[in-house]
Amino acid sequence: MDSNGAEPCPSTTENKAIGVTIITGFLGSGKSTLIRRILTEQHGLRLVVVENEFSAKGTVEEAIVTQGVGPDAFEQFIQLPNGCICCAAQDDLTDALSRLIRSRPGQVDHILVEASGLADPGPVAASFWVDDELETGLILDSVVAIADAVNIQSYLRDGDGMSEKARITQKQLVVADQVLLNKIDLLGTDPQNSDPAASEEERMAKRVSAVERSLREAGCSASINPTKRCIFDISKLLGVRAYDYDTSARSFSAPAPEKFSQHVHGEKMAVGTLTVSFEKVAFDSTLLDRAFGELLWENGESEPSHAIAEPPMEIWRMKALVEVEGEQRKWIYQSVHTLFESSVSSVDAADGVSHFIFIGKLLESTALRACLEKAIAVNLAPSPSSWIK
Amino acid sequence: MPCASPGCAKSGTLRCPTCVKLELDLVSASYFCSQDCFRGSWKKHKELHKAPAQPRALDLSAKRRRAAFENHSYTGPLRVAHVVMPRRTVPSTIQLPDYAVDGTPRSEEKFNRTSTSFKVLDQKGIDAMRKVCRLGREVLDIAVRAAKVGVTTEEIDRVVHQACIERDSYPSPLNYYGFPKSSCTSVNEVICHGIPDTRPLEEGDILNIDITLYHGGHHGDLNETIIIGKTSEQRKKLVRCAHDALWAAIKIVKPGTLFREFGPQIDKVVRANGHSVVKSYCGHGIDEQFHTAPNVPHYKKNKAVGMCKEGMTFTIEPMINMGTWRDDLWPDNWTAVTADGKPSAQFEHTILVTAKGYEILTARLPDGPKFWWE
Repeated sequence: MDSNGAEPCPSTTENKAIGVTIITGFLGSGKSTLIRRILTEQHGLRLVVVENEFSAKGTVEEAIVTQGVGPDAFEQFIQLPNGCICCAAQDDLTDALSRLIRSRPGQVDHILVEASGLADPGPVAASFWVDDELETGLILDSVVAIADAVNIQSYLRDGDGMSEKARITQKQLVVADQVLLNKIDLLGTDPQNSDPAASEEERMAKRVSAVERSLREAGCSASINPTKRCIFDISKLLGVRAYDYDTSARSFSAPAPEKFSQHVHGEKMAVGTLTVSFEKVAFDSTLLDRAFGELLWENGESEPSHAIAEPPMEIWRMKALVEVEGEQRKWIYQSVHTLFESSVSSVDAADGVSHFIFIGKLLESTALRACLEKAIAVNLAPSPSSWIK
Repeated sequence: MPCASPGCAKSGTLRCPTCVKLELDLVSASYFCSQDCFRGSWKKHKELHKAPAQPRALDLSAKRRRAAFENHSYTGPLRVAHVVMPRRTVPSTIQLPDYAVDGTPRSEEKFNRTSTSFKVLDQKGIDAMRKVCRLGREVLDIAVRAAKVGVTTEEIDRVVHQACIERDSYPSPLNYYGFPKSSCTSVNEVICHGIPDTRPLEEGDILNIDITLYHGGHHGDLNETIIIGKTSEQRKKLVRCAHDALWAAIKIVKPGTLFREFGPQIDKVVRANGHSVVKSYCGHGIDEQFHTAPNVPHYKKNKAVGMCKEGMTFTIEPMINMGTWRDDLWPDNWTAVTADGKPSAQFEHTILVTAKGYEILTARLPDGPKFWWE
């Protein structure tokens, strides 16, 4: 790896890059309410809103781009051709948006993308996680999930938690960096548990925390913000830079070794967070890339003879702080959907400790550990056999 | 023109921008009185955009072509030649790819690009790829021998087209998303996808000829950059660098290598020479489809998805610029040029992953034309 100082022409777009916030949530959860609110409120930010029709595959056919409201509003439809892959270093939509913001320099502060309620948010987030090298001027800021407090629990239980609706809902909650738990004013009170002595507010708080618990059980680890009609401080929502390496590094402030918060719905639905830790080893960066490739892409490609075997594990998001052989600083790795990337962190190496946090479905500690072990370059601990000698 | 929104009686003065862009003649359905009516009708209206298959570009008559270039600011000295000869035809005995008639590669578009598992060819597929790639090599060598000072790229394209037909092959570029010719010829600052035209080659030009054949249901893709007459040391060095960059990547191909590992290898060679790597155009999977997954970027720090496995076939084709890596597109929607007008060079092979490493399916032949340094 080259030191950054040697770069003849470091990207100057980094500071100016326009953040992209992806808003997910099922139909009726309040996405449009939030966007209307953001477009009309006085917050001083010049925003571009992209409403699009993501297909189930996560590809985009067309998008409506809006900026502002009233007489100065600007609105444009972008039709996205399905171009040939040899020209596809980046997604058509990111390319179109990159051109759009370049044609209006200094006029856009942030971009909001409203994903279809039925879309898997993984590919959507991945399509905006563009390579820095492309200098698109866009940077994936965060994924915000809006959950309808009244209905979210029934969505999660849909088809015993096995339906596509349940899966997408759960994935939206798990991939999200922030959750707005909306419509809490419509929750009403729980007739079974209502304490006549409690105030209206206390009863509502109780009801809200019950819903929050369901979200946690579904594997949601993001901050959950209860809202009414999506009334929420926009400055807290935007500019989160959830995909920044510094932000990611903070998720390791108190890593619990080998913790697995797994939540089982029936036999096979298990979504959660799993941490795999290593001590006194350093990893080989090339081999580790290949191990991640194997975990993210090759999983579930079982031999035909194993066709009836367990459904494969799915890694939806991953963050890791890793000791890499020959490096002074630990490296940060992160993944979303099928993409992963690494960067040097500000954490000093030398203690030989590496943590890998996986978020996904049917995560299996032994399989993950076995795959990662293949990428160990050196064992820093004197082995018991050498003691004997 | 009345507003196309149902039930609206006002007069429509705004035309749907997508209709304009796609050059759809939906006169009665294209005009709206206001943004509100437009938005209200959008769900239904947009269906009209999908109806006919739209070749992406260039069904422009000479007149419209000239108009499109009228106010274009060129990045370098090269100018478009306004005469593009009519599209060539192929005999009915030759097997056509699915886009040959209307320009839309339907099977490619159907392919799920977000998939992470790529096609692994069986023995029959591998044999077909060997065959078509060998034929492609023969055609490229013929084209290279035809390229001389004073010869037009149109003439080279004619030779290529003829050589393809003689080999019972379809020239894959022809009508692919409407591409008008049988090969791509990219001169000097043209990075790739140059359209053969009536400009005669000049002393000192560097010319990339990109050939793809379709034979036996498979495509084989390769290209080389050659020097026309005598040229500067600087340009010679660029051509050599593009060649060496390709090989730096090829050398690491073996089962287990990730597609994202090629970029850093290419970058090392290119940076040592003070050149830059084009980022907008990538190598690609190739088999029964002309362009398919995986996507093979040539720049470092990319997040490309996928791992080499025995039986996969793909291209590596780094485009190397003397100046900036940034590209620009001519109004023909094909010709990609460098943003600073400085020259660009490229080499490409179609590669098969084998148990031990790789096989260059488009390998050079012992009696083939020599590179400038040979």
